[in-house]
Amino acid sequence: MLNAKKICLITVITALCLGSNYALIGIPNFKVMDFFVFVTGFVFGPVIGASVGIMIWLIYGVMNPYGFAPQVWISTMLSETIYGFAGGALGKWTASIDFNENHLSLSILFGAVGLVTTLLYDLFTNIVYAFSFRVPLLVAIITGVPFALLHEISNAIIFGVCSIPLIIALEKFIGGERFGVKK
Amino acid sequence: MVLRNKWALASIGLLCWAIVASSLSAYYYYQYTDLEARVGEAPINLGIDYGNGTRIWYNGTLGRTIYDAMINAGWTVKSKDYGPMGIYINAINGVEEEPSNYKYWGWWSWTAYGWSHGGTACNKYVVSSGETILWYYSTVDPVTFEYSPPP
Repeated sequence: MLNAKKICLITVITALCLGSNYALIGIPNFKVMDFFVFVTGFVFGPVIGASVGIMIWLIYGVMNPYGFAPQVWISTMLSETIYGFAGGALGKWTASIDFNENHLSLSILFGAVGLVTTLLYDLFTNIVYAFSFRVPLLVAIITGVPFALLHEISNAIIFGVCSIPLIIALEKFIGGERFGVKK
Repeated sequence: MVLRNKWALASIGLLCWAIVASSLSAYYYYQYTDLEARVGEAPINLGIDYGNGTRIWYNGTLGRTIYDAMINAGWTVKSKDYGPMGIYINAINGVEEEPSNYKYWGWWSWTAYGWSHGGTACNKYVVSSGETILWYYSTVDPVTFEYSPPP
């Protein structure tokens, strides 16, 4: 069950994602939103993580300086949930792991998860883009490679470097048992 | 436990590298084939020097590569195809190379610094419009295998 503190945190994270998205609008495909959705899923579970992803795109997708295309909007909204689900699954899987003892291994794992989930995200959104704008599928995927790589590599670095400190901070704040703080 | 297994972690790293490398390869291959298809034929100044004082020019010859231009100029070419490495020219217009006398055909491109020896097979070199290319039958240095430049 969510308490007021958790609801407040989820709201703040959503607002943070929206704010950072608009702040980073000048750098195509570099966003910290994916990372925050992932961490939200990790800390609060996959459903909440995915919901935060959808909520962000509900706003950011409609009020987007790059324009609005319904098909692409829906695809990005659904694709964003992958970070929430991945975070939730990883949160469950690493529940019994000591973060301090496995810092490097976990960082590598988080970085790899960031890269692979972003690859799936880009693949799905490129497929929808290709069908929506009648661009040959292979051309859409291949010509999108530079943007996709920037997205994937930046996410791999952000997930790998920043996940553990933020997860520890959030769990301490909401009272995670893993870090010796009682709820 | 996966996290304690260094080979599992190395595999994860390798997977990430494979994704990035494959994406880049696919991208550059697509760009290359796309560019190649767009280039089309360009007019060049194609010449042939038999090494005996006879030099003939075929200005405005069209071709996508030097080899295309040679064929379009109506030359009789004897060659051997080495697949991805390209075509090796053994004879042009009946004048065959003479390995025993170190005499070979080589193509040269005219630059601001003079004649520059072609570094690739003639069917792998995509020409630019107005480029000057000369096939020169010359003696190669038996020790260094260096081609003597056209006069």
